[in-house]
Amino acid sequence: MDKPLSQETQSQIRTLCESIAQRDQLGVDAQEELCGHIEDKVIAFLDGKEALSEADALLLAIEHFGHRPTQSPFDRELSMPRSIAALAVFTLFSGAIAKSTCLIAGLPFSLLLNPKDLWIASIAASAFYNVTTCVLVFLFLLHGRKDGRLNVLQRLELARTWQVIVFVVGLAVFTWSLLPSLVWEWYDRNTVSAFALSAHAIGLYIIRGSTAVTMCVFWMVWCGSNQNYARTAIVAIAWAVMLIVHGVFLKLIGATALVVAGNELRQNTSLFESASGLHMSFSGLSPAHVQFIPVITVVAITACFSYVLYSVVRILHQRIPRLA
Amino acid sequence: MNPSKELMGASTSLLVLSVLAREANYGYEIIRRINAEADGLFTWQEGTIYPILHKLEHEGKVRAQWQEADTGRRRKYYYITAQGRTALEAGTKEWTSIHGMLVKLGEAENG
Repeated sequence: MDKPLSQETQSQIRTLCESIAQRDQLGVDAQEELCGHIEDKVIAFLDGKEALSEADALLLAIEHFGHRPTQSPFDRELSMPRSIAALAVFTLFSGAIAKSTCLIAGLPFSLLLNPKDLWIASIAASAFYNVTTCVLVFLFLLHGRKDGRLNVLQRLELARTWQVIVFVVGLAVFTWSLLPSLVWEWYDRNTVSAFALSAHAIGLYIIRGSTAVTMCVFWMVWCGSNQNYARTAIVAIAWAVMLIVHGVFLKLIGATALVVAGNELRQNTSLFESASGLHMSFSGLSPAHVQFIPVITVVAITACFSYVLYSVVRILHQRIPRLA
Repeated sequence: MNPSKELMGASTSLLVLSVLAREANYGYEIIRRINAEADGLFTWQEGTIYPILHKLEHEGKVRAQWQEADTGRRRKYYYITAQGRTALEAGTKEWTSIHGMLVKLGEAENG
């Protein structure tokens, strides 16, 4: 009797057969037969009963060396920490572009809702935060590729995954903390209680941090697996749900902000009158509706831009293997 | 020299039936024996054997049965049926006749 194959190999054979059976619409019987055939073939190679042809040997050599054009740029080319860092770059960068676009698109709404340019400043700060973090992570990646003695960043690259996640998230929060926080200023001006202020600030940190991490996870699931329609659809749906939840959260914050803004406007007669005049021109839209438009814009542009960006990167990796 | 696609297509069923006429066997072993007997004349891709076997099974020329192979694993063995033996005999006769005719014609041309 031949030496049995390992559980791992048998499992891989099963997976392969399932995918072939699914693709070719084979029945259970044919699928079992196929698995048996592949098992026999593997065992025959291992036992030396099946001789390797030149073509077989070439395939093996290519497989061992790695066939760059067919490799996922993130999953196989980069180590796990660098994968996460690379994914963070793309996610943050796409977010920054989306928010910058929203800054322009949302200008009329910002002026309409708040004469103090609440939305413009908020989006600009957020976009700047994303760009800064993105550049820092990119520099980290770039530096890590150089040969030479290990420095702090390179040692970090070799660190465990959770340590790198802590570094990236910490770096992002640090960068953000350097920027003037509109939420703080704005709530201070309206003398809202310290408890409400902290809750909103913490909520924003949590939602933005979790958004970045969730997006990274989605990227990794999609990039690291065999990409078929089902997997792509699952990731796309999951991403959409996450973005919607994110959007709803932002809307809730926005709605709270509107109430406070309303109080401020009532206290300042001239501002209230000018805002009311503008608001009359858009009588069909309630403030909540107007508030929701930039949120939808952010969600849609982020999703579209991320997909386009990722596609471009994939094409570049395939066309110019040396970049990979 | 590789036989033409048309010639191979016409002979596949007969080759499989010939192997099964010697002894019942399963897909992997059948293709291994055919390729070994071909001795470099041709090499069948392994995936091609199953459509042929399933077609022969559908036509009633072979029957299949899951059983334990010498290796201890469950394999689907194919057995040639009486109908299959008849088809093999008829096919072999046809090929022999054609072969004989070709030889005769060749001799006439050379001679």
